[in-house]
Amino acid sequence: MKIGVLPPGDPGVFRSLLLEEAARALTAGVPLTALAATEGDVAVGALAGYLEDDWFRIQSLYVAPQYRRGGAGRQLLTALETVLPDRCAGLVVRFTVTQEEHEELCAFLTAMGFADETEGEQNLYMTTLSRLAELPFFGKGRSDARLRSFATLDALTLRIVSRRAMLDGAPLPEGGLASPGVERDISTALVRNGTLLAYAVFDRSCLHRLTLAALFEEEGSGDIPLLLRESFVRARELYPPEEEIVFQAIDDNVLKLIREFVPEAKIVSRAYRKGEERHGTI
Amino acid sequence: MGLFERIRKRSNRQQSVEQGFRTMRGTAVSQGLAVDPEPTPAQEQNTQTEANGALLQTAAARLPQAQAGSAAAGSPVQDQETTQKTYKQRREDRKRDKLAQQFNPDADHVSYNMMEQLTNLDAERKNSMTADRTNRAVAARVDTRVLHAFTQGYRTDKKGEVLAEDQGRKDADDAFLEDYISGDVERRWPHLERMTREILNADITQGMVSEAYLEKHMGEAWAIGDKMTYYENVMKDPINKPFFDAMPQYQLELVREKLNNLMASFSLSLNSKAFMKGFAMDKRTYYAKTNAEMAREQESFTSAAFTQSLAQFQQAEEEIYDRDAEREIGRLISETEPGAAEEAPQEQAEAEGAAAGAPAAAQTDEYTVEFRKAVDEKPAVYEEYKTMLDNLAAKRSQIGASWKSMRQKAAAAQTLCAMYEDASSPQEIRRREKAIEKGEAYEAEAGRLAGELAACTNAMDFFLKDTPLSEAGRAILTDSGYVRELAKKRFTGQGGIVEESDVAYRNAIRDGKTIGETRAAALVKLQLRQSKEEGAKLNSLIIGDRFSGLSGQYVEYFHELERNGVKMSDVQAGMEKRTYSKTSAASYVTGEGVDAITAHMMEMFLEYLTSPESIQYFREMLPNVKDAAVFGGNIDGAVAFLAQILVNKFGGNHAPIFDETQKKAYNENDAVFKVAMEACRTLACISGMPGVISQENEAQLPATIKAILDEYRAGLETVMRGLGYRT
Repeated sequence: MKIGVLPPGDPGVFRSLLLEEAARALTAGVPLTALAATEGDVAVGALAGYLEDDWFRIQSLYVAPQYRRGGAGRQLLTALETVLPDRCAGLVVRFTVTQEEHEELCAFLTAMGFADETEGEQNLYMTTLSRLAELPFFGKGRSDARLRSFATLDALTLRIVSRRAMLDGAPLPEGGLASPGVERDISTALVRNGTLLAYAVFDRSCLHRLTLAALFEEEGSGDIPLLLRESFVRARELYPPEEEIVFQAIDDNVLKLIREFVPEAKIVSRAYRKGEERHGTI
Repeated sequence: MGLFERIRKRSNRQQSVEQGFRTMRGTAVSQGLAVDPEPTPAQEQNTQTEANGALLQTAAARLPQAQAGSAAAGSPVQDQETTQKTYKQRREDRKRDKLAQQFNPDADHVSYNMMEQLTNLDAERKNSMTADRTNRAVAARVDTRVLHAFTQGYRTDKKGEVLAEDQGRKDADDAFLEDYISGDVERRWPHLERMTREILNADITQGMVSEAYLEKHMGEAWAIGDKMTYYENVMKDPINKPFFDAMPQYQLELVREKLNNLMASFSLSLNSKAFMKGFAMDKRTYYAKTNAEMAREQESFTSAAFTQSLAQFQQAEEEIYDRDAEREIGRLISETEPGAAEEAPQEQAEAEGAAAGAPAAAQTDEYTVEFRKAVDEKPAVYEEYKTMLDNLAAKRSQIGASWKSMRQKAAAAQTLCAMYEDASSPQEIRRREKAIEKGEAYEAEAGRLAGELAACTNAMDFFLKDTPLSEAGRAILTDSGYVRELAKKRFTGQGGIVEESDVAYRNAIRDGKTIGETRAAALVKLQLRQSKEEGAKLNSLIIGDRFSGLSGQYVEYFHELERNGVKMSDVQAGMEKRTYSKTSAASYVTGEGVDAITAHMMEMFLEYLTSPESIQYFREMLPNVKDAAVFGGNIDGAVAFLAQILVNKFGGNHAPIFDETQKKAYNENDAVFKVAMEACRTLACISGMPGVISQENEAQLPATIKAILDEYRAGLETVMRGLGYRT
């Protein structure tokens, strides 16, 4: 097993062992530090990342399945640590766990002395429609006539509502409420006489899965549970039970919401760190 | 965001700003705190890039270059990285808290971030506003504050060269500054358009003065405030006058409204937010000390003022677009050839007329010709209802004119909407929304007017052509005060109510019915007994509120009885039901207590019946029914019949007392109800006696009941005298 460095430029045969973004950055000439592990003439693994705030952020770390448990991953990390500057505090890596092999990465990092810092992050939570259906709250299925799906709102109303939401400082998904990416059949609004009272907007902005992209209610109105229930009822009508839904805990309020209404949702974002913070650095 | 951008963005965030750091450094030194060597903005910007470059060099020096002929099977898959770097940001926030608090205990990482953005903005703008340009601007008497406010600025690398991705901004700034300094309005024109767009498109919201927003967007917010402040100077510059003279009116109004309503309060709000966070925004320096309470009070005040200004601006903005739409619609109408605007509405008029239940031709001016023709064909009918018909014709004409006007406006609004079909700017989109809103309102009003037009036409045709009267036609007649005319036509007109009654009368005789049965069959067809019948409704309209006070008097009467110690349960116990003939209408109740009550109630009713207002009612309604065959030319019979209807509706109506007992308002609710009900039934029975009860049966009436009957007959005589049928 040999460890070598990949120079800036097209990674060639090593491309397939790097995440797309890292491969593109290397090709574009970005000063990314990329190391590769080879077994004879075969590339078996690669690592890429960059220094940021005196920590080395691992952007891509992968060893081909048939070459795992052979030390390739360990050697990549060890080689990296030998070239890091003294002022570098350590290594950090963040990723989402949406496949089985991502779980393997978690175990590997732990074994390599990384600390799990997932707790405390603005994490991504994921569950499925079928699991939601099992929850008593969403199983009630009672529809509220005040609530309307975005599909029943014409484009002009959505633009007016979007503008008013902006004026109110309400959170909006990328591109606004009338964005083509919004799942109009599932996103729900409470609109009365042209006044927006509350909405829950879904798109596929996160992990290419159904994502709660924006949530708003007039203070104290208590409409959010109704909106979510309505949206989930519709989602269950449109999508199969195994359809996954993602929530991001962007702040404590949303985290509280997730814990209250979807307690069984699993955290799919992970953060690991190895090293120690150094004082005095800015 | 790509990796490259992330690195650069990270670099920029860490960029220490010359002025700010100088200030902090100076203060820190005076406080005896250790200070890192002061980096220049360009150096700071390049730190991360350099560090990574150096790392790469180290790796290349220490490790061999990786080489392979093929790759093992497999590829990493990562749907998405986490979108927020909050752990790092929190760590950074803690660092910045400490830094900022060195200079002001009330400052924190938010203060630091705000300051950083402002100084970044300054530095980037300064790259464009070189000393040379500034000097030339001053020499050319160009307001450098305007130039500064509308310069975008750009970033440079450590050599001072513009960053590749900022080249566009630099080029734009170069063009703007050179053109503006030239003093040539033609050269300035595209930039003035850009500057105006920036002002118009600045979507200032309540959220923009929140701490959360300003922490990330203070630079942008400040830039907007700056632009609004100095745009006024742009407007005042005489060189720019041709540009503003050519500006569409609504844009001029919007800009002025924004500057008048929002500029000051927005800037004040930003400043007070900065004050609360311990720094002076305009000077880009921290206050050594802040009076926290005073800062909060100031912030609260400016925030409230900004909220109010924003609301006022939104209101004014709405009005500007409204006026603009009206103006444009008016212009389109005036540009339309006469008659052309009415051609299109013609079809719509007919459709709307048909939908409203009127013949298509009724919606057009052709109806005026038809009307004159009908008048010529039925001069007697026209004479009989002349005042009403002329008034209806005038009303119709007025409605028709309003309808045409509304159709024109609706068509113009539609044209206006089509003009903004490809609207892209927020202002054009808003204009299109307003055009749609106006169009819908005009359409709705046109529809309503079409309905009124059809109703008016129907009402006129009802009189002149004997066409069936629609609900809408009826409503327009009653609303216009033509109930009497309507009643007259419905009762006495061809195919009217009296005709139907006469048919029933003749049929009953033909079929060998008894006198009573014949009379009953004919009277029923007069449609006055059942409130749901058309005749009864018209009768009610003519009666109006003449008898409306009686029910209240009855209620008060029974309360007074109880107050005076009358026990209704005793009265009830003394009641005895009798009848003077075999029909149920001949039933009455007598008894010592109830007879007195019935007599008093009859007295109260007769006061109303014999009043001048009541006499007037008879004067209006009697002609409608007196010629019915069932009365045989007997006016007394017709008057008695109408009076009986009044007794049934008012004098013998125990419903209000029932309502009162429902509220448990009496001492003996059940007894009051029973007594009142029977007294009312007795009154109704008595009202049916005149002309019907035989002498023999009358002689057998209890004296008390006979007395009440005599009182009633006297009341009828008074009515007859009032009508002039008695001397």
